[in-house]
Amino acid sequence: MTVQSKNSRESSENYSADEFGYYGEYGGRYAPEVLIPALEELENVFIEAKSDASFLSDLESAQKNYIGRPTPLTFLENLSSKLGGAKIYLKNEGLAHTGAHKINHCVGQILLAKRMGKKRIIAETGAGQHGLATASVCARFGMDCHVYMGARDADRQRPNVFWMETLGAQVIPVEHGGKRLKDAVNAAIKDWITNVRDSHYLLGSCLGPHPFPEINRYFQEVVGREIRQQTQTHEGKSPDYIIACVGGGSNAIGAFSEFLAEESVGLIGVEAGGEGEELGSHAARFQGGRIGVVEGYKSYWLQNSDGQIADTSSISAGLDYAGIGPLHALLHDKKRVRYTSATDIEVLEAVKTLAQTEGILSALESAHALVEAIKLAPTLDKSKVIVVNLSGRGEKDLFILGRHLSSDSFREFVARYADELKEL
Amino acid sequence: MGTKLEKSLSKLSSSKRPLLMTHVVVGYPSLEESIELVQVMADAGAAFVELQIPFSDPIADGPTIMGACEEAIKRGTTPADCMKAIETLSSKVEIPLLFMSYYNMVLNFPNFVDSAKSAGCEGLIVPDISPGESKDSFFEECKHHKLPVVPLVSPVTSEERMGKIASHSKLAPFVYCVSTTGTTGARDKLPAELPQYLEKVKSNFNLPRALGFGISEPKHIDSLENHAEIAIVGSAVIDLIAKSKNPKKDLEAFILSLVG
Ligand SMILES: Cc1ncc(COP(=O)(O)O)c(C=O)c1O
Repeated sequence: MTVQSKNSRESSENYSADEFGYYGEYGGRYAPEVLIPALEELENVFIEAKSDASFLSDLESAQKNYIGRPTPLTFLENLSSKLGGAKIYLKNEGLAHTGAHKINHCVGQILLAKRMGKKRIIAETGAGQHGLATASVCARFGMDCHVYMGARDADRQRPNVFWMETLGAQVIPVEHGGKRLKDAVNAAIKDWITNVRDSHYLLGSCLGPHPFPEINRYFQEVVGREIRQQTQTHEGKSPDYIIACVGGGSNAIGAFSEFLAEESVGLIGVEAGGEGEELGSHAARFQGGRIGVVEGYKSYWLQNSDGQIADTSSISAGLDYAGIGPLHALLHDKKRVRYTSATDIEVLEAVKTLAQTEGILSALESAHALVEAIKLAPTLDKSKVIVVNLSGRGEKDLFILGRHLSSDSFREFVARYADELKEL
Repeated sequence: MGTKLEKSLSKLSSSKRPLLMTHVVVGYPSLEESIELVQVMADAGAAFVELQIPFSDPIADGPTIMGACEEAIKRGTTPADCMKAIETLSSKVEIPLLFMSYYNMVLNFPNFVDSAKSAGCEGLIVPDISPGESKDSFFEECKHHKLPVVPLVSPVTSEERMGKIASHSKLAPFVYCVSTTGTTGARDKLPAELPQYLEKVKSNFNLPRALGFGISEPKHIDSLENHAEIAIVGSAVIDLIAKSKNPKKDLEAFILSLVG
């Protein structure tokens, strides 16, 4: 079977950034002057690398032999028949090395860092998956790794802090602001401002000043290309819908990018609905966010009427972010992607459902996309195909799930284990 | 009669020692006190004062100014308060007042440039937007309202880029030279390579050089003679105010020592 790379309903719009890094009016390079040379260098090295056969062969080899690509596309037969509508497939990025899609742009960026001769790597992380992937590639490439993580996130995603440290990274808890992902990005940028001569900022999503959104998009697009091939193999066509969760937006861009020009493929981004609709209780930027410029780029931001950035709330640290990658802002305005949200309660339920019907543990972030698939599938004909981008696996969420889902025995164990550790 | 800005700049030719630009975060330690502090600065001999509009995510600021911004916002300081503060002050002091803030504050305030100009602001320092890089109408608006934007350079800015920035900054009163790679904050020592860097700035800009980031003592300013025309002191003032039992008196003494 041949892979269809062009669709009859293709539009000319491929939504790439213009020369100044804008997607429509969003994005750009709103950075302090001290970072401009580093951003220019990164942009030049990236452009050069993309047409360098040896870079591309290193990248492909790492994707295959280190990340374990391609990741499988798994038909959720039990869940689909239980819901009684469209067929649901899972693009399982949770099976990529280090457990999430984040490794895709980490492998790419570490190759760029090596090309630039940088020895010191800075990263921010929310859920800890980007930090974990960064720590892993740093260990492999012999680079000094510094990961900023909101103090609140470091607590709730403690297993990933432990693994990052085991891999040799220094994890720095950030005590400012809401102690979440936005504050970690702030701290990482400040480290970069200070150490810009010898450090590369390995930014973890499709956000930040140009060229970061384009770089991470480029390295994540492999996911969408695989989705095209694998759906073609299984179903002989493109998916009817692709659903992805949206924190900063990298896993969603990775899954969507290949299909942006193919208007017949419905694209749905799911934001964190958190605990409620008022400002501060969620992280749904398209539900109350306004245009702002923060952390180097222009996009929708959750902010008060003065332009002070608002607190956010989500059970998933990776989606608990007040801004959203600039390409998503354009895709939202152009209505090319439909954005919805899922609440904390719905997400917990979806994690349980997937575990018990299919034997797959989803990260809390990715479960936002599942919530939407579970709502959508029964409304569609059985001939329709939904692909859910399962951006990550769930082991990191042990302590969060332990609080919300577990029987008393888990809590008793944690308490007993804590006592044992005290004795050491 | 020129503007206050022109008056301050005209003193440059007769002064070997760099003129002083000081900084306050509007609303820190309180709105009233920050306004009073500006008057103290003006009376004690500061030639320019930058009023920072506090923003929740000040990317170029170190712990001192970030903390002051956080505190000011917590106390309810709004951008509208800052407009009122500059309006009040510009009728009271004889020196030029500039606004410093981040672009989100500019973007969110209705007709920021026009309002700032009408309130008596004589220049803008916005570290996260640079001319020639953005699609925003900000720089055109500033030109239209004759409100100059201060360009920034850093020790890693190439001469080629300095030339480009200079070509966009013909109306600027001075060029803000960031002393080091780093965020704002008082430092014990200034970098050793400053003279070469400031020489590069001189040959690429036809503007007075204002050096900032890290200056905290009179002897730092002494060492800038012949290298910079303006010395900027920010965090050191906030550190002093935070510690002081009598901020106005201590600030006056500190400014007098800096002016020399
Ligand atoms: C598993 C997983 N999915 C999604 C995200 C959200 O990031 P993005 O929107 O960039 O994919 C994260 C971020 O930490 C994550 O760990």
